[in-house]
Amino acid sequence: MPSEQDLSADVVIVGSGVAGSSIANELARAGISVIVLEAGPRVDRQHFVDNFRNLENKPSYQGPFPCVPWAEHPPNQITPNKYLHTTGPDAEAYQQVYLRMMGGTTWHWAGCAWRYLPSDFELKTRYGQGRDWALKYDDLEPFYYQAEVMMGVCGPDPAVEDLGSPRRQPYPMDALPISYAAEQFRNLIREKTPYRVVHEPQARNTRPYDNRPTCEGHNNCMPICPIGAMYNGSYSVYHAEAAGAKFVPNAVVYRIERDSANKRVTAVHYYDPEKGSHRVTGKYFVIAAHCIETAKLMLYSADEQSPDGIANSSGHVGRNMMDHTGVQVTFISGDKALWPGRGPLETNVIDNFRDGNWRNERGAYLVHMVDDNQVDLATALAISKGYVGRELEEQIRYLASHTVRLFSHNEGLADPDNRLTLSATYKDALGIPHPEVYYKLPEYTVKSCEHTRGLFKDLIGLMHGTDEQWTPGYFPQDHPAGSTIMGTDPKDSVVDGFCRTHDHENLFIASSSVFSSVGTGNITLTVAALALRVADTLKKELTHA
Amino acid sequence: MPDVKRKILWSVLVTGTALASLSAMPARADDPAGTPPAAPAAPAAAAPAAPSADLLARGEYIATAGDCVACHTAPGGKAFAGGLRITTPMGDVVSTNITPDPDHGIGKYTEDDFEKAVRHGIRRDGSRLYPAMPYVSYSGMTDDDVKAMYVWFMHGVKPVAVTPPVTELNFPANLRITMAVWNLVAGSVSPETGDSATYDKMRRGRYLANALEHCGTCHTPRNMMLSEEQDSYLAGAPLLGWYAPNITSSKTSGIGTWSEDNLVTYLKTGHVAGLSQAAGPMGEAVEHSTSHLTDDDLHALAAYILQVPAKEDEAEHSPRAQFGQALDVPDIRSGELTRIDKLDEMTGPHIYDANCAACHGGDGAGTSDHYAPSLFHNSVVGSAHPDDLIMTVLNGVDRTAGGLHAYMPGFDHGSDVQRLSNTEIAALVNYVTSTFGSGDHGVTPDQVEKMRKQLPKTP
Repeated sequence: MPSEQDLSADVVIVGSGVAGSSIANELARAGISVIVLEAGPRVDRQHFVDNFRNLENKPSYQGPFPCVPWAEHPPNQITPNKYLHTTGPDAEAYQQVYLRMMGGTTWHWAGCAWRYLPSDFELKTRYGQGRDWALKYDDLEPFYYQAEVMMGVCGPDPAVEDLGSPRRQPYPMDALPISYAAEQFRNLIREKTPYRVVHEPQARNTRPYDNRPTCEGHNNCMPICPIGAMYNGSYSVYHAEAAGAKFVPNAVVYRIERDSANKRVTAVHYYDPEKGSHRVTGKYFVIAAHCIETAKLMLYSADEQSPDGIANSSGHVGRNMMDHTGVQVTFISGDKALWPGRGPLETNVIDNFRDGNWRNERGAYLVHMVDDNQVDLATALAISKGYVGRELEEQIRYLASHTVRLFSHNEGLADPDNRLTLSATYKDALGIPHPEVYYKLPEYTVKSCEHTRGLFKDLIGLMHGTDEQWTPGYFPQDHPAGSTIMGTDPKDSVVDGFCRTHDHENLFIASSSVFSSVGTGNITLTVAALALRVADTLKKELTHA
Repeated sequence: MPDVKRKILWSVLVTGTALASLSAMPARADDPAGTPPAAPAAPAAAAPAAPSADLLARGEYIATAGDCVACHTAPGGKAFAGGLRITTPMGDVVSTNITPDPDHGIGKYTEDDFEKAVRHGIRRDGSRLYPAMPYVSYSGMTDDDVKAMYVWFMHGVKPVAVTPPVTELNFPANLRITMAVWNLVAGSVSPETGDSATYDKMRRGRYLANALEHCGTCHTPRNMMLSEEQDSYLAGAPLLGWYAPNITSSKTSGIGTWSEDNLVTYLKTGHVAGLSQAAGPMGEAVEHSTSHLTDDDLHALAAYILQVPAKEDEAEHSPRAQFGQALDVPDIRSGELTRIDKLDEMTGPHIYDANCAACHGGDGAGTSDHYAPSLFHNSVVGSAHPDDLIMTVLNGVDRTAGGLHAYMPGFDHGSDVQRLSNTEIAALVNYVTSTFGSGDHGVTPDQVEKMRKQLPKTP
């Protein structure tokens, strides 16, 4: 445990995921002192790989990460899951999972690294729906590129495949090669539909990059890349530490202290695993603790000065919870074998429903052709059909090679009634309440999901599919956003366009919690770009001070 | 990644008793190391007509075969601008700028100055070069090849106006006069004569091996006076953590079982399936030098190396590449999951399983395209000297040759992929050599720690 006099820095960051660690790295390299407080422990890859190999249920991507009692995270996506308690009509569609440990949730993700479209930042202006962000695409473009270089993103040449987000530089690495399954899928879409399949931009190496190897297609990006070819926040932690940033693991921040005027944050307080309390002072503070945990911390820090929680004069902390709640189906193709499961998990996307004038009434969506190993599903299906012996083996082979899995990311919408609160019933080992979320899927997203179902039915028909298995209801995508929403008006938003809280001039938030709309791609690259922009602002203010 | 090849001489020069005897020798009153550069000489002769393309091409090829770029380029720096820092127990040796910049490089060198530096280790100001520069080997170059190289450096290399930091060694190695004395002992060889391009295969091979590629600099052990032991020519020697293996024609200790084509493939691509692959200093030699040689030259070089008289190594009783077989993968699954904060050191089989098996296979057979090599039938794993395996685990592989970028991450303290402890690396290496190689060589954590300290410093 560090001694108390060590616990002061120019910038104090809560959370060591992609957002917190990349800010720490940028600041430390500029000579600014940084302390990062991480609720979870230090971890390493080999123990996760060992756990993954020991894991019976391989698709359970939270499985290899049994949490510590002082920093719980959801054990899986089922309801109830004993940590993230969800209520409301679509409670099961908001079972977000994430990780609390050094490096954050990018220890398990599929590496999808989309830039948002310019229209995603202007949803209200262009389509009369939801909200506009307090920044434009062009404000973020340089930071998107910086994030792509930091993470090592591969993607297509815009002259060949324009993904709709203008770029000043090419992707740092060439796009991934197309797997056999993806090639079959691409051919089908090209020949039989008016749609297109594009290369998904991916934070994974298509050549040795940043002292890490080329992706070999082990096909278990989730739960763990076994060779380090895919980006995760731990690299930024290592780089920041090498530059002099100090990381304190097992430091569960529970209180945000302000000055008497309630204008500036003066310190944060954290518990160690034995509930010893420590105070950390600084000039600037950044909360980068994941959408759910950030809102939880700000609400839990409520005191006499701020009875509704920190930075919450608008009452919007914990509201506007969004996701890319989607639709999922698997089926058996009646056409040629695809042999999915050879290559990274998610690399090919139908993007025709990503933007259009119809966004004035229904949400956008992306369709992923998920290229994962289907032996589990095929085996269960073959057994359920009653096959035994040699026939069983043949059926498993046939079904595993013909299974198609599709899922969609459908656009959510900020609705203040979709709200995170502190559980009145459940507390963790330190006595801190669990998070609870009320969720009702916005009509805008419901319409989008209906459209997706129609598309999926068409595709199943085109592939002469059988044995459809639809995930009941809606499918959570682990892209929570909106809990400390961005806006220009302090009356209905929590942070401004620079992710600075309206209420406290030296408090920033770096998380998908600031998103004003959830956008039309996976959230991580935008989280990283916003974080790097926060680092840029802090560098300017601290070096000019 | 810094080339470490030229560290070796230092490793022997600055350690052991030989140094004391050298420094005790007389005649250091005229120490030139402390004197300022000689007064400006007459300006170089007026530039002659532009050299012919043929002469430039030849000069470039000779410089490539001599692998000048590897030492005279800093990591991420401009080619030939020097600045590579080589840490030794006696201080840092820093390579110099040999671009034709007149103030920062060798732009003021006449052909004669250049010849003295390359073949005799004497700088333009008269002071002695440290023998990190393999001028004893280069002294065998023909006059024509030195001339061609000079012309290319003056006209084919881009000047870079940067002066690298000055080498500052501790006493007595800081006295460049020490090198003059050493030269008396080490001597030099007579230059080859005639047109080296017209030599027959074996003479050409010998010329490439000795005067240009300077193979013996690393692969030949040195005597008490730090000269290469000619009766142990290419018999293998330690190399700052690595071990430059015995490459004599011994069938058990050397590479006597290799065909000429095997060796050509190795020098061209850095990899021969079922035999060996290059990492560390040899990986760099392949990348910067041998992979750029013509097929005729590679065959000449290989043919010459393969006829070098056999020298046995007491520790090696069987060809290094003939050990091991695919492992019938045992089930090491416990079904138990460990909590994320439990980072206990793992045993050899589990360390292998979690860090190596993804690429090299649970059975050790590597990938079918050999990008990740098999660990059995592999010289590095089968060697009785586990040095190169330990260094590969620590340092990884980063070699571009034959159109392929071979890459394996290192597992040292700076790794972003996985940081292994000394105990874990010792356990892993002992597991790998006993499972796929010539047995458990009893590597200890202390040994790993010593080798960790030899790793190139990240800039």
